[in-house]
Amino acid sequence: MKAVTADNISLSYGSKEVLHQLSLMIDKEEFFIIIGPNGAGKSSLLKGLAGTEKINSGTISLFGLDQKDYSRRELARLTALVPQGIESHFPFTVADTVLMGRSPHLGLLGAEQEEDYHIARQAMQATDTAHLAGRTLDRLSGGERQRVIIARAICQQPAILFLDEPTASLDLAHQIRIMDLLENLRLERKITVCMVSHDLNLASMYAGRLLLLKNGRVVRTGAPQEVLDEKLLEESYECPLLVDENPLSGTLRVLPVPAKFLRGK
Amino acid sequence: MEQTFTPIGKRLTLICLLLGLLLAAVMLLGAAVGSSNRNPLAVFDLLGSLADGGSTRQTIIWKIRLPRVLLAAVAGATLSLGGLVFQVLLRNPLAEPYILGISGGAAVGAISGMLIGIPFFPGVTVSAFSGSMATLGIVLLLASGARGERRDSLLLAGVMMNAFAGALIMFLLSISQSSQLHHILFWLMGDLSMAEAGRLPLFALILPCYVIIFILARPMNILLTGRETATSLGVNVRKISVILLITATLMVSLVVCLSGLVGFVGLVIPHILRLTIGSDHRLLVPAGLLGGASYLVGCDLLARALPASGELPVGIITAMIGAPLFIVLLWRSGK
Repeated sequence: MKAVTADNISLSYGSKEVLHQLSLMIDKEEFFIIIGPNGAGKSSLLKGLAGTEKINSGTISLFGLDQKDYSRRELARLTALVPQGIESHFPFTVADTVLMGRSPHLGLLGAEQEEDYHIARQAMQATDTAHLAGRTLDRLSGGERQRVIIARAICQQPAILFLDEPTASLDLAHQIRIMDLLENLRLERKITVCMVSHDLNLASMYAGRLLLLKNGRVVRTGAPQEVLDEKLLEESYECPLLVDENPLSGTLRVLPVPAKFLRGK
Repeated sequence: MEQTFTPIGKRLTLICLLLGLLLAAVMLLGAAVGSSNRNPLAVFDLLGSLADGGSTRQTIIWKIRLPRVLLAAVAGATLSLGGLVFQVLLRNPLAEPYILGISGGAAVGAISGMLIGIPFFPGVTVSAFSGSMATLGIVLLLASGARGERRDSLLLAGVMMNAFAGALIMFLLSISQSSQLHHILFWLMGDLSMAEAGRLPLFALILPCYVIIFILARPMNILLTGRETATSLGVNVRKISVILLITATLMVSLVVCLSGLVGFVGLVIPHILRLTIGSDHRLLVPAGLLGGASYLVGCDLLARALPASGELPVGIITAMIGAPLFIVLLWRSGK
């Protein structure tokens, strides 16, 4: 049984179709990364899979059961979403925000128990946000806020974690820390990780499989070695690229080539 | 690390206890003090004389002041909760039933009903509710259609609907031949003196609204994270928003029927509470209820005690406090 199966899904905003009859499968405990140029439909695909955006046709199954057959709360116990930007008009503290991840596990009037606090504390320690607990979200840097939102998602204890460019606003140290954290969650808690990323080098080092998306269609799915093909990427991103081997990890490495170095290529 | 989370129960008990005591104190003061006795020390007289019934003072207290104090408490609690709900739904701390024109819409509906001469319940209340729902619909439509900063266009739409409602009210009053004109005008400015037994069914409708909002306090927190996140946290955003919108509009329009246009309570109280107890609506809802009730009972006390003779409409007091605060908040949010 697959963790996620999408069969011929299409999604449009008004008359603009952003996903065209797309199909994919994600294995249990897989690290699955969606890549592709801007406007390819990566975020829409992620939202569709996570169930926060309605698809117009096709079916999505999670662990063999149609997404529509889950209630909202069941879905929130099974999957968590780390969206791209977050709103903070109202000054919730970091502790409050992380604890919100427990809400699909509680009844309407149920108060959090010691166990919930414990889970929240663990999530905050794992994301290096425990020292921020009392601060309000509007007083955090972009990177700190991103880690808090990941802590909330972990606090949901999902079986599948969806993330939309979780490393986009982070410095190098925190990028690696977040990716290592996701890898650990995947291995230790047997979570399936599905994320959108613009960072092909991180994707190459962590992903079990990649999905290259363009104009709402799958260009190629497979192991990083199969997808990170120089020709294929140059066509998709419409930009000259250099793909070579990372001497440390042996994985592929992708560099965009500036115009002034084009002669050597 | 152990101090990271304070269990909600303890804080809730403490807050309810403190604000409950405050409410009891102002209500007692409100019952003791009035145009016939302005001395705050009358509280002790009141407590002392509760035993012997039948005197004129007893009649004043039981038949006039106490119903009035209760009406003030219910109106204050309702308007304060109404403010909280609209601030969550519109994700704007400046949203408030009066500023959004919802109270004004209810007043137009209520006055139309009064002038036609339909009975107060259910006739006038139904027309008030229709008026407020219609205004709310127009405000939301205008705000969503407007370009640019949504937060400001929403407030602008509300202020304009309020002005339009004001014009409609003046139009209705100027063409009417009603002998109740003076009475209606006074009611419009916020009048708590109409506490009568005939209004009791309205209270019976308002109380369940409190319960609904209390039950939905946690989803209200989550709604503040935005539609997408709230959905991914298991909240049915559309359903919860519609329930909250109708509940808040219903109870606010009922309070307009009971006490006219009392503005800014839903701005002042939630603002103060957010500064002191944070953004958790499981605390803010009960605190807003008790705090709003205490606040309006207090304002009514001022309205009765301040003028040398007679009394002020309580809406004048709340506007004098609330409007400057609104301006300060607007100025600060623009920076």
